Amino acid sequence: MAMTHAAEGLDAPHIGVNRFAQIASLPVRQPILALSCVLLLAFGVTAVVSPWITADPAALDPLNRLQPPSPAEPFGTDQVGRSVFARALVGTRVSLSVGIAVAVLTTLIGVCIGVIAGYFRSVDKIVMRAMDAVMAIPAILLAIALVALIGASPIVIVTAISLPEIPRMARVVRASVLSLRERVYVEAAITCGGRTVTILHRHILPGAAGPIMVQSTYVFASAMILESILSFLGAGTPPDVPSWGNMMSEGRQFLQIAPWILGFPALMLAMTVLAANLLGDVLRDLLDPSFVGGEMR
Amino acid sequence: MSAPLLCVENLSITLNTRGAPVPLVRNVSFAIDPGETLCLVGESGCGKSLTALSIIGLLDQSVMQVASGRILFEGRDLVTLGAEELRKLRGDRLAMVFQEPMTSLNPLLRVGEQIAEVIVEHRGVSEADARRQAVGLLDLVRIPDARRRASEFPHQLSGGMRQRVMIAMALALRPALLIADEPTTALDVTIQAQVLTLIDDLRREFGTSVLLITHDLGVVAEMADRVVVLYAGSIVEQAGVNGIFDAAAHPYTRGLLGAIGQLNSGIRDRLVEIPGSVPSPVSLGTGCAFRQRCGAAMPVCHSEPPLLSGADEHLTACWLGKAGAMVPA
Amino acid sequence: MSAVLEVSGLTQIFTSRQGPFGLFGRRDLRAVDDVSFVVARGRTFCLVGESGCGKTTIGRMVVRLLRPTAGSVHINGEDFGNLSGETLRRKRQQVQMVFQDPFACLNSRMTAAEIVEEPLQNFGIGDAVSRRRKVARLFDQVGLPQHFRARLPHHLSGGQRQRLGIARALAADPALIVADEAVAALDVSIRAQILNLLKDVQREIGISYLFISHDLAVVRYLADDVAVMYLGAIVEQGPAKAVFAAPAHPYTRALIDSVPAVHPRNRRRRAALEGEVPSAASLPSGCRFRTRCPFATDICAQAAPAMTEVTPGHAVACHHAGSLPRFGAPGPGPAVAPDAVA
Repeated sequence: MAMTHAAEGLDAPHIGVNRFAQIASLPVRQPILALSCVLLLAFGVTAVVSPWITADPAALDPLNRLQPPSPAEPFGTDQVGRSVFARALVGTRVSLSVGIAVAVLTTLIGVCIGVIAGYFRSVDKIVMRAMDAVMAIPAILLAIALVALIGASPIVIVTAISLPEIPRMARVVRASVLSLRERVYVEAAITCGGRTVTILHRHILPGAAGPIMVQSTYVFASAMILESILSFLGAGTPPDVPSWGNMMSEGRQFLQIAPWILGFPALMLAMTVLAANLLGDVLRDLLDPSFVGGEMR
Repeated sequence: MSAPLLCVENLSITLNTRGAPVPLVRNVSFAIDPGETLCLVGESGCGKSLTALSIIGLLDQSVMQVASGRILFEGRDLVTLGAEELRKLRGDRLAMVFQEPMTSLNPLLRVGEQIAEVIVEHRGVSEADARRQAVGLLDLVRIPDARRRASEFPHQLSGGMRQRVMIAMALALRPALLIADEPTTALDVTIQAQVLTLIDDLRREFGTSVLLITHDLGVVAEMADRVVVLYAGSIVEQAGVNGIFDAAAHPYTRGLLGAIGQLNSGIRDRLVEIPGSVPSPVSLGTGCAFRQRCGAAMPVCHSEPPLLSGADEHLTACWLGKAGAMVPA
Repeated sequence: MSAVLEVSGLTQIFTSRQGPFGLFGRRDLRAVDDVSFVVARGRTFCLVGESGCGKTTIGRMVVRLLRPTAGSVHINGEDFGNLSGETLRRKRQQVQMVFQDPFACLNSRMTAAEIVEEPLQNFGIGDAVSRRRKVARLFDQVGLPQHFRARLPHHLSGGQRQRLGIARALAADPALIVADEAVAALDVSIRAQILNLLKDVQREIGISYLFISHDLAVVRYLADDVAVMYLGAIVEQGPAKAVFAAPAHPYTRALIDSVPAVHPRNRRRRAALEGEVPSAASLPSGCRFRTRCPFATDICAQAAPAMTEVTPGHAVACHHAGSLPRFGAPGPGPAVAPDAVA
């Protein structure tokens, strides 16, 4: 009670917020947020520019097989003499694009399902039971089955990974929509003659944006892991495309004598996933509903 | 004339911020005699709840603190008292009742157990004895069928009933001072009447002093012996209850009384309103905190803060009718 | 026809299922039971009662945030209670609402001007230019400075937010505004501002209010007509002046009697109403007030009293309305004479 008073008194209009200063001080106030953003950005840039800055990842050099890391080949070479550095950098593309594609697809479909289930009580039970059923399918088995059935193509892989993630996104969205639809300002919007579509996109979705963002970073991270697992199992990216999963799969046989073949792609995968998860955690804390706009409520 | 039970002297409370500390309560002084009911009146944000919390030592130390002043209770300064001693005092000599009884009761414990716990904690009597006393207390606060109610959980009771349980718990050890922070604000008007009557009866019976915090001048008219009116963290007027209602001197007090007086008189003319809204504690500036909303503001009100002064225990912090008002602009 | 709102036989029953999967049957909660009243054009009708009496539920049915279980709601003689879909949405223009909590009722992501403009857009009133002009006029009407238009709600004080809420309710030129505890969350000094504003607006444009409140002082100030509710039903109804001068129902008397004094001189010992409101899930037989009524007799337990007029327009549902002692006169029960204390 006392705190609300204090906080209320302080949100007076003249205490302006200097946006620039806010952003400039971000690395100090939120070091983890800044670090994970920088990491993800670096990987993103790598993915885009890698074909131009590295050697041909498919170029064989049988004379220099299984060479340990050196100044010329910072990550060493593999069993047929290909540059692990070049392959790992180019492999960023597969991982990140699968991660992004899955995150976008899951978010689009999951948000639609979650909003429908959360806002329209009549379909809620049916939709959510269906989601439970989808969630019960083991992701990897589903992916292997799909690939075996249709063959490995980027679309199949993205679909196979997205499918089991959609219910999780839908649940998160439904939960926030359920609480948002009870808000007084949503009722006010109804009495003001708002059409359902207007109410959803103007009053409900912006409120759910935080949890959606957080969940999609988690989806992004787990999609990259799943893609690597599938490639590792030989059910993912075709072997001719360098991806972290393929590289780890190949490097497995040489783990004893050339651990760098498996080690570097694994390290890069771990760093990307860690950065994405950290970003998700920080966003979740920042966007916590009890801390809206940095104001006590 | 006996010595006052509680004496708050020049109490200031500040909010810790990254910049300069923001004053939330400024130089508040008042005293409560044994058996007296003092009402702290003001609107939200005026500092009345903070003042109460600082007396009972429940101020959230991580965000705010007592910057200066003393709180003398039975001869001891509560500001400098150690945490352990304060804890012993709390519940025993000092007790508090909050606005929302549901949040102050443990939902997982039967109400009888909760009251008994306080008694065991401070008096060291046996569990069974404490239970018996708890039922007696529930009876005292006029809860019908006290024995059965004692074995119920808070959510099984109505709001009014829960507030009675809180009062029973507060009075369990016969404290010398009962602090009640908006005890009836969450209650219906017929239940409010019951609870106010109860508090007054218990005060009469046990000679407990009551510090009643409220925004409702109707409650003040019913309960108070003396009244302290707070505005934006400072006392603007302090007087006996009749002094406030018959001869309010501060424009803010008069404005408040005007609005409720008119409302209750049944006359349906335009209400007297106080224009504007309460200023933020960071933008008070110099001078009187009420100056922007005051119809009688003079040049001196913008430059100098008025001091609390007056005669016959009727103090006002206003330049109106004071020598200082004559200072040429 | 001068009735803006006509409510008749309005009933709301909330059903909750008991036990796991609702296996142990249903429990019906009669939140509002057969309520009828009329709000005339340009007048203020107040619903007054304590928490849980069903006054808010009535308000929600009148603005159709809730569909009535039974009964009818007519706005300007046309059905509103049973509409749905697009017809309901269009008709909402006639009935707008002012909410209790000025913090929660505004979307914190929208600017003040956007909030006021929203109903105009929704109901397709005017073009962009005329809408902007109308928003400016509404700001003037509710006493908000024009430079507040770009502000977000959390940069406004409680009173200013409530003004904004009123501007939004006025925007679509409704015939009726339902105000549910519209001043209850405001500080005393702000309350007078908002009450004055509501009155000024009514004088200017002749709008009708259905004002829902627990605060008798506010009701007395604002109401032309008043209905006192207890446990989901109206127990007394009539012109405010008549009801406050000569309350005929024991509950109305107790309610008026419970209001704190305006002056310490008028302090008195109140023989406050005993006990608490029973649950709406298990209503008492006969008269629903009998469990707390000091005048209750056998007949009160046997038959529910019907609304009967005591004076023209002033009706009460009490078996003993004719034989109660004069209000304020000595007698048993809550309406006892003041006996000064200390």
